[in-house]
Amino acid sequence: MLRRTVQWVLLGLLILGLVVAPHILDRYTIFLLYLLWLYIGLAQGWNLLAGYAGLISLGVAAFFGIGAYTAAMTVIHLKYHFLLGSLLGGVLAMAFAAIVAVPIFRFSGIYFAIGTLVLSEALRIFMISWKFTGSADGLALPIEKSPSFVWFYYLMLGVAAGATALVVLILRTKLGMGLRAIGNNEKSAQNMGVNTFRTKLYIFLISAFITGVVGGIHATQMGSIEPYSIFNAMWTLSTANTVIIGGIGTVAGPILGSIFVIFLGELLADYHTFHLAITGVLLILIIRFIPAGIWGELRETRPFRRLAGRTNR
Amino acid sequence: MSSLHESRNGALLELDHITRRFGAVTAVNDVSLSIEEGQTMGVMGPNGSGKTTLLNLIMGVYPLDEGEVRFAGARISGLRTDEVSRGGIGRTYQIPQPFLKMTVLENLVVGDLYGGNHRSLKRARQRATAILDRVGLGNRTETEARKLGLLDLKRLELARVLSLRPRLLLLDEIAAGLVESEVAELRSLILELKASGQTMLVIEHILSFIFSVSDRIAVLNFGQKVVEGAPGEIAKNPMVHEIYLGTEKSGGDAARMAEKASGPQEGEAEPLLVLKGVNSGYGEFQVLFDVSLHIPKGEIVALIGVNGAGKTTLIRTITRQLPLRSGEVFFKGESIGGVRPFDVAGLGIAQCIEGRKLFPELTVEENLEIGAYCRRARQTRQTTIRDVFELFPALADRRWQIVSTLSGGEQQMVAIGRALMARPELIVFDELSLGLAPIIIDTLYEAIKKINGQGVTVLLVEQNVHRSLEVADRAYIIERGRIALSGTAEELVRNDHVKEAYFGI
Repeated sequence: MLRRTVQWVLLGLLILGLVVAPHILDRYTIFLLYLLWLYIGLAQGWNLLAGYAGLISLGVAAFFGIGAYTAAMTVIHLKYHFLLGSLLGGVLAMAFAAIVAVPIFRFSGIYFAIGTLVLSEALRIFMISWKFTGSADGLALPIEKSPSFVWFYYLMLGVAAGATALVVLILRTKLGMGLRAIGNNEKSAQNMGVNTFRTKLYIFLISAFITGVVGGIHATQMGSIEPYSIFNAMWTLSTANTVIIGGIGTVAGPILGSIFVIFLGELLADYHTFHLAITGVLLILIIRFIPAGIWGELRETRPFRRLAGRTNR
Repeated sequence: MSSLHESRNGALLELDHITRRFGAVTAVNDVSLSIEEGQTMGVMGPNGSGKTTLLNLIMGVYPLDEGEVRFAGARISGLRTDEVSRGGIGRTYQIPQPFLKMTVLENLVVGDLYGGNHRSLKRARQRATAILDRVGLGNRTETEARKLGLLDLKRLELARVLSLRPRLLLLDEIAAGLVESEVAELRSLILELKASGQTMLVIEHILSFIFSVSDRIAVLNFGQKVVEGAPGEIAKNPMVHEIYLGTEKSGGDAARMAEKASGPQEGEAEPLLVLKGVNSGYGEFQVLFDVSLHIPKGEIVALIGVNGAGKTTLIRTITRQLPLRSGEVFFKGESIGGVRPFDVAGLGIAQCIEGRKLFPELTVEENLEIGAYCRRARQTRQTTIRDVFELFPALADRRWQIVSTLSGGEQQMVAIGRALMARPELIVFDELSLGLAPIIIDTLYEAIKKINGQGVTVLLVEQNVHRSLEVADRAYIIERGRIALSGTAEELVRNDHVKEAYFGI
């Protein structure tokens, strides 16, 4: 009972802290936190696919980019509110996922990864030359429509929390059981009556939606977008990096991984040349020595085992 | 007994002349079988006879080339595996395939939700718990499946399909690899299910097991149904004995026996390979128990036993692919316990692995050349290759051909040739005759005699008892990881225990 109360109090304090934070902290720190929420959102979406269903996607940038461009185009041309634009971004990313699902699910393992990478690279090249979306120059969003920076902080915080909640929720349903079954052993899942194509499709759509919404909000926050950076494979790699460091196939992993990566980036900000090298070495060390990631390792230890519980959080 | 009328109304599963080919091999050939509600049908047959393929065809893992599968009167061939499973057929795998990183309970929850088309996780958990209690896993519900031992994994495999509430259970070698007491335990579980009216199709290599649980038994050989009948009839059927013990080569028996009687006597030749009190296995799972044997120089020694008896494990232990738990292995009088696996070939031990394991995209000649990689064989490579082509003239014509395009028999010749390329003093053949036609087996056995005639010691590992006893000087019978019997080939040919080891009669 007491334990429960303490937990609720701690959670309350955390929420209060997160709400108050942008009013106390300096603009740069708020921006870092905004980036943290952004990575948590992407990481949760990717982890759903890679961590639970075992589908390693290298196409994060594709769905992120579709979300970003959809939001920008609807704000510019249709004069929609950027929130609606970002939601539409998620929907369009989902629609794109639905179209490519049939061919891409014919691949598995490394071929699925390469297939999704090709998809996002193809899209980048296409966007560079498509006049309708401003080709290589990209798009600039009307500044007067942009809300204050603090609002983006809250919005992305909401997306990160929402994505995390969604993952927890899915894991508690039949869909989540089927998803984990596929990630464990696809052949065996079929043998146990799981329609693996449909289950993977649902997860692929959900993951694409989350990624698209994050892309839409980020586009609006930046004010201008161009295909080189928006469809950059960097989004994909950072996301995967974050999840693997934090703990693939766990709910807390993407969060811890994002905190770790952002904090590390900040720590090494003055040594720009070493930043990537050190991150790379760390990744190799983590894969070599704690392949389950930070949380994957921690939850096996005594104080955290209860917290992780049985639903693979 | 089964009139047309009865089989039409009573049959839950009907296989109607089903055929499936893989390339040139017809894995399942025009098989018809029907299982009535409440019946337990046993399916037996040697390794490679098409038993597991039959299950895969029922489950829709592969499409049929010909024929039809009907379940409860409706055609199910053409459905996906998950549709068949939800339709009421639950299948276990020979090697358990649990969701390793999920708990025991969660493994069943998946089956309950999807197989039974339920939504509530809470009620699924309750039902799953009940099944786990029934199979004796009630205290392991929250354990991750990957942490289970073999018996518990087998129990889980059974519990998982039960969570689907299947009308028909397909059990693929549920008792394989277990020790006697565990087999008995699983048998009583199966008998309980049977008593509760569960319809089952049981594939099993442990024949006493299949005889005791089945109402009827069908015997497969080379993909065809050879005979079907009550267990008592099958156990006495001479055709079944022939399939399991192998056919004797026409006419040559007496002559060979006489020839062998003048051969080396026990203890005369110096031992080339000696095993002393070897214990070995995989992880927690011990396969070999205190195995001792010796292979005299220049002889052919046969190692005989049913599937799962530990034959291949013994070879892996000799060739250092599996670590020794205890005991010693001596080759030419020296302990080879510390030799690294890739140095074994250099000592003069070559093996012709079960399933051949050739390099499929390389040519015949390239495959042979790789065999001569070790230093002792490298210089003489060109002469050895000529010897191999002399032994198998069919290969000489096909030296530039890609190996995967050869027939099964020719591939086996390449595998033998590759082992010979290492210029071994001891050559190990593992399941040489598996899945091959009798006429090709004749050719291969002739080759073995020639190889032995050139002074190479041979260890022959076989399911095919008669064949191997024909050529062998000496044999060891291995049963559940222990040497049950040994002696000269003549002694064993007349020994009834050999039959017992297979049929439990």
